[in-house]
Amino acid sequence: MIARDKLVKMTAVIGIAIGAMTIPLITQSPFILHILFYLWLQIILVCSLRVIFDADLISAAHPAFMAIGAYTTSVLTMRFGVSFWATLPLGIIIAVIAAAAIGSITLKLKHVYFMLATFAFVEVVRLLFSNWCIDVFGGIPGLINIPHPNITIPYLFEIKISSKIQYYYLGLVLLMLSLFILYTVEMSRLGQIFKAIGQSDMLAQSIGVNISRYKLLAFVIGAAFAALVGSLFAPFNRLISPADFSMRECILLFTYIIVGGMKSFYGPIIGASFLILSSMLILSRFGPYESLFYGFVLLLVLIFMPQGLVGLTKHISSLVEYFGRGGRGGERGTT
Amino acid sequence: MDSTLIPQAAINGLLLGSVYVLIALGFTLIFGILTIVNFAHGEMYMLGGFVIYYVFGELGCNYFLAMIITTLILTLFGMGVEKVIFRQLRGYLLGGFIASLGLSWVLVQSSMVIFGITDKAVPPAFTGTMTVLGASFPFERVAGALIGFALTGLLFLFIRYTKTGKAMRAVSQDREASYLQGINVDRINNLGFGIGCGLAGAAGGLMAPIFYISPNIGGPVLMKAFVVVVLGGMGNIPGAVVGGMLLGVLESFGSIVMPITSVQLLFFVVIVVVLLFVPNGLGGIFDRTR
Repeated sequence: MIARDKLVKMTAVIGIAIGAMTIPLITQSPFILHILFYLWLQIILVCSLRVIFDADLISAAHPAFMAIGAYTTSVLTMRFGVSFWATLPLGIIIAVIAAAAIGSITLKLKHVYFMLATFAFVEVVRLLFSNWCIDVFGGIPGLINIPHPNITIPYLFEIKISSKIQYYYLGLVLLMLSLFILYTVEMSRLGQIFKAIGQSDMLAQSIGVNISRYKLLAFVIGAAFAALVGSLFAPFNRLISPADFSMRECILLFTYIIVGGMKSFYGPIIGASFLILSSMLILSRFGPYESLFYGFVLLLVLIFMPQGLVGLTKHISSLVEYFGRGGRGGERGTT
Repeated sequence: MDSTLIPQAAINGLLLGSVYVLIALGFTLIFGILTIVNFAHGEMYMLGGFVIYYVFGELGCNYFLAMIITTLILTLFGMGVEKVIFRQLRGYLLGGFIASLGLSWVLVQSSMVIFGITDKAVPPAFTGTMTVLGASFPFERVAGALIGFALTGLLFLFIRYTKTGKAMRAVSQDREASYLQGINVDRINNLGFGIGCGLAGAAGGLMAPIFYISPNIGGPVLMKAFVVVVLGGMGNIPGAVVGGMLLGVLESFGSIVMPITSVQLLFFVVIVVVLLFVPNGLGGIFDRTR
């Protein structure tokens, strides 16, 4: 039974991956590819945020780490001519150091206070980038004309990634890589420890888990992926400003997690896909009511399905199983 | 430096602080009783401004009567919101927080649709200025501060001496024990949320004749409430008063010596420091010495 479940899951994942790879063959509409690239980035963000949530931390700090990645990439490529591929790990390293520093002082705070501290951290970073070293970071208007990355293999070829399709595939590759790493973390001993801390930190501590160290680790992992997304976002958008890294970004991530359901790995993915794709449909028809739609969906999900959309699919699948066995008499699935 | 600058800054700070106190009191009351970080608090302020705009500005009702109507409407609105949304999420910290964010989006967007996105001006409620120590103050600011102080005082009396107020304190101290004492916790939650929103609405009504109003004014106000409440201690009512006055005075003096953006930055640094070293806020220090 377990093996069959696994097989079904594997097939589904491979199917979705192949589907995602063939989308540009079907449509080359820049609008759709733009939205999908944005979706890939949001999925990386939301899945990495979930690692932090798993370890019982409500962190609002993701936009700050995105800003660190984005500004590292933009400033280095624009002002110093460094290759994009060198700035990518550099941005991640800087974000990791920042996360370790901020985490080691704020992680001792309890729930709400930790959230508020990370919230203040985002504001501090945003205000710093708006007002500090304006000749380097561009102040409130930000930076424009961030160069596109090149893929160069000496003597063979050189591709300048500039079209939406090229970005689409770049994003897709990095998304798959990130999801693979995050899934491995989730399934590893490390993921189990995060979950144990999330369920009861007292109990985890009593069986010998160094909770502050693992919480810090979760926080740092999240920060690394946030910086990756920031670095990728900068050349794609070609324009970054401190306003791109405000609390609004983080609130959107929270929405995806809640709407999708945070108990399972694919919940946030479903949440992000559902909200971004449906708001795309709504935006193209009804104009600027995105926030209104998000707000209503969020409230309805919170009130009527606290488990998120994933809870709904489980509910449906158990119903299907129930009726599949001929209604009453059959034992209910234990999923 | 001009010799009138310092008294001017001090009194400006007090006037500003009295409104911050009002906003933060509601925020901290809601956190204390319901353990909800209410991110829709700024929107209650905004709605208060719009109610004043229609009742006082358009209908030409007496200002004091309009203020009472505003406070009542926002209190009832808050109670309704609590009943429909937050009651379902009791004890679910993240859920309450996220729901308040969703609510804030819905309120901002619906106000944009209903009231329009252009700035609206409410006619001044009081005219004229007075001069103290060579510094001049518009009457509307002074009146705003006085009404603010009066409402703060009323809330204190209510919390301190009425039975409902005592029940609110009991619930914020220990929910289970209040159940055991026969307190109707649902009703107290409902009333607490309502009063919190009513106070924010009153603050909006006070500030509307002084500033412009638009659906977007809630955000900065929320930030202020947030700074004050962290300074004073989450859920700590005297702390909110201390924090609000402190923020008003600091902001007023700070903007003399450095640019306003640096002042904002400084506040968030202060928040992080306060959270790290005195997580119960400045109000917590007073509690300990008492």
